[in-house]
Amino acid sequence: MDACDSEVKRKAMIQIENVSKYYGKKPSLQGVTLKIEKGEVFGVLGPNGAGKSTLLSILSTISKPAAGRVEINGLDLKKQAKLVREQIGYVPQDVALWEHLTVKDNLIFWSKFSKQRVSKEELYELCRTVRLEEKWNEKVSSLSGGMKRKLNIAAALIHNPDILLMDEPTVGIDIQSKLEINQYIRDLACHGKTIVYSTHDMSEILSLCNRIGVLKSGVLQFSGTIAEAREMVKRKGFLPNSDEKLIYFLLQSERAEKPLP
Amino acid sequence: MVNLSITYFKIREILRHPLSLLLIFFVPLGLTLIVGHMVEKGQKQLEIPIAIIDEDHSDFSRLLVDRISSQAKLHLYKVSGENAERMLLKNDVDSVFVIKKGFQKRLLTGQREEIIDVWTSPSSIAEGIVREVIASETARLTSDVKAADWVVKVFKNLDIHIDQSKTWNAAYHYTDSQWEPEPLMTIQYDQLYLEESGEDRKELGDSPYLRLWTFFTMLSCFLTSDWIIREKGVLFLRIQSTYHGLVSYLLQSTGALFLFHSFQTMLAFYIFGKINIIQMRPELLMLMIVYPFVCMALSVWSASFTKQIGSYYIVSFLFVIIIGILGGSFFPVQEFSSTLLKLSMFFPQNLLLSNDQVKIHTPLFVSGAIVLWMLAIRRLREKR
Ligand SMILES: Nc1ncnc2c1ncn2[C@@H]1O[C@H](COP(=O)(O)OP(=O)(O)OP(=O)(O)O)[C@@H](O)[C@H]1O
Ligand SMILES: [Mg+2]
Repeated sequence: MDACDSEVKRKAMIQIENVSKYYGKKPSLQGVTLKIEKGEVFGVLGPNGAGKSTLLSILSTISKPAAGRVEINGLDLKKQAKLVREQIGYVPQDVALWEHLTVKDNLIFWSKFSKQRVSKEELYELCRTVRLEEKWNEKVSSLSGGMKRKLNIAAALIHNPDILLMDEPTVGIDIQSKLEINQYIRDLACHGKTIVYSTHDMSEILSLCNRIGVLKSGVLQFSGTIAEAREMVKRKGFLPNSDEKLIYFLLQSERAEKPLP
Repeated sequence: MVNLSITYFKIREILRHPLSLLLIFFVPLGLTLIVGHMVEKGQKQLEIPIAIIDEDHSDFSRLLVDRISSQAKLHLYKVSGENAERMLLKNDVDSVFVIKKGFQKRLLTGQREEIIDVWTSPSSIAEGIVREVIASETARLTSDVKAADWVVKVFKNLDIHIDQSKTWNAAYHYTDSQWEPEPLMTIQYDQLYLEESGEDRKELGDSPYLRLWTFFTMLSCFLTSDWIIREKGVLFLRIQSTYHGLVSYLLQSTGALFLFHSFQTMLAFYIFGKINIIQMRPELLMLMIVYPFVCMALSVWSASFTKQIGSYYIVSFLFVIIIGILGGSFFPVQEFSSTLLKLSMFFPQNLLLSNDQVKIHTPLFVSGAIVLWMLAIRRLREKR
């Protein structure tokens, strides 16, 4: 998966400094500091309610952080939101499509929101990438849950953004399509796109992500590669015999001292 | 340059969906015409049926019958004596009037007593009105006759030779023409009424159509704003992450809808003008177009508050009906009390259903609407 690493120049695409966000008095992000580089698939991990979606919605300019600073490709997220939006593609955790429109019209409609013009042929090509070409003329309301998710992903790719913010995009998608989508995302990363990818899927974490960040109750517990994670865990005196157990340990960090099942 | 591709897309969407076209065009136009027609028919049924028996069969008696039958609020049956009695007993008529034999002769000799009999039943209500009409018509006839007699007498006393019957007729018709177009008393009543209510009755022509149009147009504006409720969750959030963003989407989508509502308004203006409900004045067209603008601001604003689509429909229906009643969409509430008159000034119907305040109020309504739009947009793009 790191086959294309050398080709891509390392450059910080996303810089998050001390970002906090509160809903009421309850913090959903607390002092998160993180750097994500160009050409990287960065996995955001954490149990339910950890703040993954909150982080992604801040990066996608939907939410405003209560404190801290975010820079995306050198642009200040707060002051240059419009310029940032040109460069990002956001896949929300929930499907965001017009149910009464066809697949084709949904893609056309979403394309109207981007700066550049996208031809129908390009949209059809995108539709093929997510294997929905047979549903091109069908209403979204008639699609299965997994198909909607595929279209949900495709809608974020329309304007060929440099940064993809994907919030559990492949939930409910069949294994074959998921592998294909993963491959597609890997290709995008190889071509210099930066991808922030939130997931609960162990195989995606291990096969797709170059680096991971582990959130717990809004606090970033760890960020780095799997190898770095292993090192850290080792230092704590735990020797996982598989990557799965390593991830398990990371996500359980609160109870890290307890032995694993 | 402003990118209007979202507007084009929305327009295409509206055109492709029969339901939205139905809501935009049929609800305000079709329903107004249908319900308006029914209301007008209903108003005709509100006429009071009376029977009249003409025993005199003279020119004067026929003239009186004609004049009574041209009264708007009365429906006249010309019948014979027995029929009239039966109709009265069956309550088919409110009351029966008998023009007694010798009616013309008595009038010509200046006698005005006991020339008409009235039969009533305990449920009669129209007697008073008809008595008034008949009294006014007989007064007209007798004064015409008196004046004509007097003119002929003056010439006679002055020993001027004239063609007596020609002079009498000329004097009679001249006097009679003084009662046209309406008996004087009626005009005075109307003027008082106009001054008090501040309403231009000529503008509306007493027609229910424009009133109903204000109601159905507002309803249509509310029903076509339901997309906001459907999309305000995850779709609006996602749109906020796009280049053109949510504000542009809201402005362009509502703009496209407003275009359709304006088109509907122009059609209504044309149709109402053609069937003589309104005068086709450009100021009126302008006010009619401002109206859906204000209505859309109201609907977008209330949609920005509502979460569930079902409650949106219920709330907006009630809202439209209440505004409709207070604003005068169904009947001229302003005439009931001065409080209602003052209150009705704040409802958008006031733009069309009242004329005096228009000059002051149109800019107020427009700026109020713009404020509502801004509030709605602010609410809808509220950062989570
Ligand atoms: N709109 C909101 N209003 C109030 N609290 C919220 C809102 N959105 C999120 N939260 C709270 O913020 C915290 C983080 O939520 P977030 O959605 O970021 O979690 P997550 O890591 O994405 O969880 P999941 O894995 O279930 O998607 C949670 O405690 C949640 O209750
Ligand atoms: Mg989430």
